[in-house]
Amino acid sequence: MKIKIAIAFLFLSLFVFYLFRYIDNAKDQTIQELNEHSLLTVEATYNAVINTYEIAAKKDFNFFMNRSDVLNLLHSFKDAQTPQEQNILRGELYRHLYKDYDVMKKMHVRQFHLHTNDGKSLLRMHLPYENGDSLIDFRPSIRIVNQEHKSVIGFEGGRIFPGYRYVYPIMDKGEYLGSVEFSVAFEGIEEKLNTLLPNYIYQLIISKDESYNKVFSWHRRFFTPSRFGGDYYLENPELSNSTELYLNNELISRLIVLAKSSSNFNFNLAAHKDFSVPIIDADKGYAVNFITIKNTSNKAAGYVVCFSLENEIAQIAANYKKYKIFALLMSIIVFTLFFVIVIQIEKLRRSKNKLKSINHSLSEAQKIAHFGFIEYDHLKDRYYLSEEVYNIFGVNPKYFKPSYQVLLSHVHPDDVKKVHKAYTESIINKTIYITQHRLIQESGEVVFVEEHGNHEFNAEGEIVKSIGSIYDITQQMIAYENLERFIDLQTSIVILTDGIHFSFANKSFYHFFGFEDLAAFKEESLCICDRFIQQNGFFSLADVKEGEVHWIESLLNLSLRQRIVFMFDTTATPHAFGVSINKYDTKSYVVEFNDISDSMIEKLQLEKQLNRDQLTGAYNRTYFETNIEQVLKLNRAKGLKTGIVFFDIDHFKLINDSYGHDMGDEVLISLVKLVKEQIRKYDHLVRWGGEEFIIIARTTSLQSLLQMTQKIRIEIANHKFKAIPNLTCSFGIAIHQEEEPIKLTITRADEKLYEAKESGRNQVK
Amino acid sequence: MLLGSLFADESRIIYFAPLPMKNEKTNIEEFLPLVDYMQKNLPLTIKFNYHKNYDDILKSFMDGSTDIAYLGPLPYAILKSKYPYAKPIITFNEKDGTTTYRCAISKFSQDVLDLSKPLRVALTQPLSTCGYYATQKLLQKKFGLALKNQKYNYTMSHTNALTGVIREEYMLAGSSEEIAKKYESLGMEIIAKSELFPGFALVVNTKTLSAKEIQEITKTLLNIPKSSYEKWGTLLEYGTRPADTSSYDSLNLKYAIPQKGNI
Repeated sequence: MKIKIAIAFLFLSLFVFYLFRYIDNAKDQTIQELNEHSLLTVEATYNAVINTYEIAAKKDFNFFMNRSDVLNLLHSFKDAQTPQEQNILRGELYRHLYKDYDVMKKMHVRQFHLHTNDGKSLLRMHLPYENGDSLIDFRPSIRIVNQEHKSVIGFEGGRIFPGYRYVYPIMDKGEYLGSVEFSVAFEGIEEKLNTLLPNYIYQLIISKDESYNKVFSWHRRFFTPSRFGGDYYLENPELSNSTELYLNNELISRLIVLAKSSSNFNFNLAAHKDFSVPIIDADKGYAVNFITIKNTSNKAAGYVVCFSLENEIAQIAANYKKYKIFALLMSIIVFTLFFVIVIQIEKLRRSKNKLKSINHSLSEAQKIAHFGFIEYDHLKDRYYLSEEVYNIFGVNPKYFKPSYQVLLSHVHPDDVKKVHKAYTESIINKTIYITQHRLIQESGEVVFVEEHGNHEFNAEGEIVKSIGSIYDITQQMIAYENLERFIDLQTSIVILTDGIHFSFANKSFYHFFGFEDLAAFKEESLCICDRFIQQNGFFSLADVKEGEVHWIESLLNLSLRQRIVFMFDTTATPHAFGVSINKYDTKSYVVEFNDISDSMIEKLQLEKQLNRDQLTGAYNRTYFETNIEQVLKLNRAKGLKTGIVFFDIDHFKLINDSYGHDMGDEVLISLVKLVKEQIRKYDHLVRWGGEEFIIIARTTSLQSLLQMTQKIRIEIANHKFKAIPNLTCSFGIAIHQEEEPIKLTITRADEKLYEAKESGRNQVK
Repeated sequence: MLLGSLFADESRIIYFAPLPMKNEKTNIEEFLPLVDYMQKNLPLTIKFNYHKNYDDILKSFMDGSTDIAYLGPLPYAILKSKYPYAKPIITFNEKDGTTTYRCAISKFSQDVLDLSKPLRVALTQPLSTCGYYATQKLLQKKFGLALKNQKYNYTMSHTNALTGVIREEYMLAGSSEEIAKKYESLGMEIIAKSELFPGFALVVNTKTLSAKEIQEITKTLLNIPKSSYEKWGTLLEYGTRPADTSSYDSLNLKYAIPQKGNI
């Protein structure tokens, strides 16, 4: 990762480096184009000025050629025999020309110089006593004019001053008399340039060969080395006012230093071609233009240097600076994005690998646990099945195209309805579904599975996705069946319960309680614990303490010796059971009830005597008193009511009186037997006293209780008791009201019984 | 003494007045090699005290604000007559090795002088030796004419005076003989020459400089190597020699020189 970031950073650095170079090049090119324009302007102006002076010089020459007095003097000079004659003629020439020269000086004509026909100085109007020296070797222009008798124009150094030379041959009457030269000082050129381009500063730099090396040695002091270097010289202030003006100018000095430090400056200076140097100093732009000056031999003689303020350069530089900042910011943003993307990709790759690893582990775990995952996208009609699903279904993923119908087709025919119902109802009710069913694999093998599913709905309540798991519970089912078979073999009562519900009970359980199956038991009791009789020394629900989740937890909190419960069998025979509890799975317990009645026989016998009427075997009032609350609670738990049927035998006293007390006892025994046969196993028949009985019945309403009682009444009335032709009973019934003391209910039933007696007996009221 | 020792290492500032004939900058540049040499070889800091004419130089000398001056013989003579603390220490050799020069009066060879009328005379500067002073003497000697009775004007330089004659502005020009000879190539002719005058000298102010300082300055200037002075330009390039104070005795000025021309 660090290497990738380092590479990215390196890439960014290179990118920014080359981008900056590109921007710098573009900036330099733009500035250079601007400078080229500035240079062209100066060049054009400079050439125009030079041409103007050429015209002026030509005019002066024409004027000169019209001066016959001067031409005559020149003829005389040429013909003079002695130097003295020549001296006088030179003086005369000066006398004739100095006024014209004074006018020329005002026009910046620095030198007005007459040359002899053999190339010597005849008269320098600007320095008249310097004369007679040969100019042929120093002044190519004069040599050319003398040899070829044609005019020569151009910049040239001299024995006194350098300048822009306009040299003309003097021909009169077909005779070559010599030449005349007008030389313009740079000051003149500068003045004209200033008129045309007023905001520029000009400087003339002349090559050493054309200045210092050419003048008389005693005039070398007129030249000062240029600060541009490269063996260029300036005319010093004694010669040039412009030099004096700018020699110590701070801005010019700084621009010269900056120009010299620019790239390729020395190369350009040595190349003797026009060039321009852009400069940015203190947020201002300048152009330093170099216009090359050729001498009369067309060789480089120096430069006219032109300094100008070009604010556009600074503006361009400022703009490109902004571009660079923008480019840098953009590059940083791009790099940051790139960096973030790289990190995200790396994270994604790691996540993918992790997910892949998790998926692999999950797949392996699913495989081990026989656990599969199913997802169905209702909108796309697409299934996703985990690998283990294919294993559970026993199909080849390559050829298995899942759909609801296809999946349902693998469900055992007996379970199809159940599965379909669970699934569709969970969608309708928007609830989870849990179902256990069988699957028939392609090999024909049947496997048990447990499915859990849930659904996702959109804002409009439409289903979008179903997610479910399928768990192969075949092994558990086999184990469970084996366990059931094993438990069934046990003589003790064994149940499988979570403490609240119980899912399995063995045969001993049904035998003891007299139920055919679990469903039948559950109609009467939800829990075996409901059957625990509250007795001293025995555990019952009354012993469940606050905070204990269920009775099993309560029993587990007791010592082994205290885990004894007391229950009646179908014949109301009390049994004592030692309870042992074993964990079956995370939720369920295997609870075994071992009948330890034999070891507690005396206690149980006493209990039996205490609860049963010794004559008839019906429950007695002790039983009633002990268990009525339990019965009421049980019925309430089932959402049913408790009805009290109070009845007695009509004219029982006559039976005793007529047939004796033994017969009376026998009638009582037969009646109890008959009534027991008529009532249900969860109803209780209690001998209330003498010939009075109470039936504690589970009922839904008074009407239902009435029907049941009428049936009993009729059965009794129709029964043939031994030696007794007719026996009837009168009945009073009442429904126990919520919060009503049971004794009050019995009183109300008793009052109804009284009504029945008053109404003629053998009635139910 | 103790104070002198304490300040021994500090440069003493002295003021030097160069030739007044040319513009300030060029004038200073001309004397700069000499001044640099003195500063390098003496514990002195020399500052230029430039004046446009001799009269101002003499005034500054006398009021003590100038310590050394480059003076021609006449300005020295005038100064000496008014201020006894002026002392020439060295003079400068000419090209031919001499230290003296002559003045001359010239005319254009073709011109004819009409002595019956006042002559128009071109002069250099009022206190220039070859100016009013020498020209008056030569005119008196050659033609028996008093300059004051002629039409004269100061052209401020020798060349201007000579050129003025060629231009026909003047009939005569007073100048140094050396420069007048240069103008012979223009048809000018020297018609009278003066006696020899001592050359230009460095004159020290003995009132502002100590004898020891003067001694050191003199010694240093007389020992300038040729390799140095030969590069110093036309005025200084032929070396130095001790000034002969007695040579100035002949410059006996008994009248006041007019400061302005009469044209």
